[in-house]
Amino acid sequence: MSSLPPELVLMIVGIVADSNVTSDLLACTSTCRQWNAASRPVIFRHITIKSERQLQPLAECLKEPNMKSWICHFRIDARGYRRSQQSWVLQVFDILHTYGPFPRIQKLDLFGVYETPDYGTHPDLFTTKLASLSSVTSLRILETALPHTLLRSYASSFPHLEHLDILRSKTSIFGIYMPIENPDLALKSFKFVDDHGETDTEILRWISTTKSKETLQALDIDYSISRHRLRVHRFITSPGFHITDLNLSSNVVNDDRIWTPQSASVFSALRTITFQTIPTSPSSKFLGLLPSPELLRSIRYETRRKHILVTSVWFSARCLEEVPLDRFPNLEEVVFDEGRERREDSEGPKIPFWMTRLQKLHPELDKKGLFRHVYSPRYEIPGSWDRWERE
Amino acid sequence: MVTVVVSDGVTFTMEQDVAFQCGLIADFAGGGGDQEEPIPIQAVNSTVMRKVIEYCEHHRNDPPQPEVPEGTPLERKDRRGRDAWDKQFIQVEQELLFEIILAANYLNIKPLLDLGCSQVAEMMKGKTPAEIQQMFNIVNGFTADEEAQNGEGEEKARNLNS
Repeated sequence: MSSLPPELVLMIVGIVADSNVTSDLLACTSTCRQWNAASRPVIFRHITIKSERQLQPLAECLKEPNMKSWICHFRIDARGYRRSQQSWVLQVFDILHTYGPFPRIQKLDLFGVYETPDYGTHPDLFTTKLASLSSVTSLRILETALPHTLLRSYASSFPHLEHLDILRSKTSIFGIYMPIENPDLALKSFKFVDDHGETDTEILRWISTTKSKETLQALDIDYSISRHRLRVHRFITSPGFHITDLNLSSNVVNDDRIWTPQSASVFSALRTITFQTIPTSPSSKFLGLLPSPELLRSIRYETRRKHILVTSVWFSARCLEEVPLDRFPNLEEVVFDEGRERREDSEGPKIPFWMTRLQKLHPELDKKGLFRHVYSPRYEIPGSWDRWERE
Repeated sequence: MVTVVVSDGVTFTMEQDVAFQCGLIADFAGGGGDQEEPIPIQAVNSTVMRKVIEYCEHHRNDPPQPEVPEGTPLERKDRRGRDAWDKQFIQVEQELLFEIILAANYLNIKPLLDLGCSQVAEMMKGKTPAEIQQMFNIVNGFTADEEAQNGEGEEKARNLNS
């Protein structure tokens, strides 16, 4: 084992690290010198601060010169703390400011981090603190409520931001006067999951006024119970985008007022489309309207979401007959993704009915092995997100 | 057809689509037609080469792996994953597993390299350092000071990842 070249040891340690099991990584560090050298940088690649008691260890760690080049992913998880109990979050930013900059931190997660009196009133102060994280390219905001002032700070503090996820956050308080602080913002992907139904699509309008309009490739919109899907429609179908990877939730998919020839023409660059629902008539018709069928490589149906309003989905075998798979000469896969692994004792067929039905309708595509049934985790977010999905 | 000769002198002849899954052979052959001269593969013996060819033959009709843009979520990167055949294929003696990994690295077969390394990582799951040392026949060689430093580092890591 020790005779493996360093690059292979690094590769194996990287795979161990991807499983996010700290004890396995720690075991690597204590195995031998070679594994210690390979795993020490990896072990500090992801840092998660969840409580006040971690502040001192964090400060001590950051004093080590190597640490700056090791940390790639920083997460503050303040879920479970009320707004009045979050003063320690400010101290985290203070510590980062003191010991920064951190040129390798590309991912920043802010989970349950609320507006605070100091930063809410003085967003410039917050911007100053974030200067140590200017290399961030991926920002995930989960289960929080952010005022527009803070979002403005984010936009101007992360000049290289490419991936923005806003998940289950009360974004309605963004307000209607979203300032355009960073017109050079060039997002490649934007994920917006809002199960509160309180969304304010001003954030979408804001994004569409930045350079992101030219650079955005992947768009994932999930409004499970939102009433504003037509406003979403205005965003995703406004000309000028070059989206190649589109992922839509059930109630957006199922509204046939959205899927018109005009809206289809906007998606001339589409290569992958994901419907977070079972096939329905509007989505099937939409596929028939796409102007560049030769580009489409992948159609995915994600039937995993427990909160899908199944009762409101109009579904019949006729919908499947309307899926125009023959239109797409370069299609490489039609995937039915059920999210979580099927339990052995589960009743019912292993392959979903609608996949079997499509296989019968398109035997020539079935022979090519296009149809696949998979289980894959939707988001790699621990904690309450999992609980929420199980509900 | 492409012919290779491995370290113990055994010659293997493969169809081009099988052979060209090895980046090294594809580079060597220059992407052209049949090779008359056997290509020497000195870093791989015949036992390992048979396994490599078995893998390449099984995957000869796989579509090329799509380019995955940076920042793509994990679930999108791992679309193919390890199928049941792969899992069965890589259940080999530990010594052979390492030889397959080294061969995949030398021959530049990325999916096989991923498969082998993933198998090693899988074997390490839930093991203590002592168990890993025993399993892979590793001598740790740490001094007392280094052991103490490891302990401190471990505590820091636990504090920042709990």
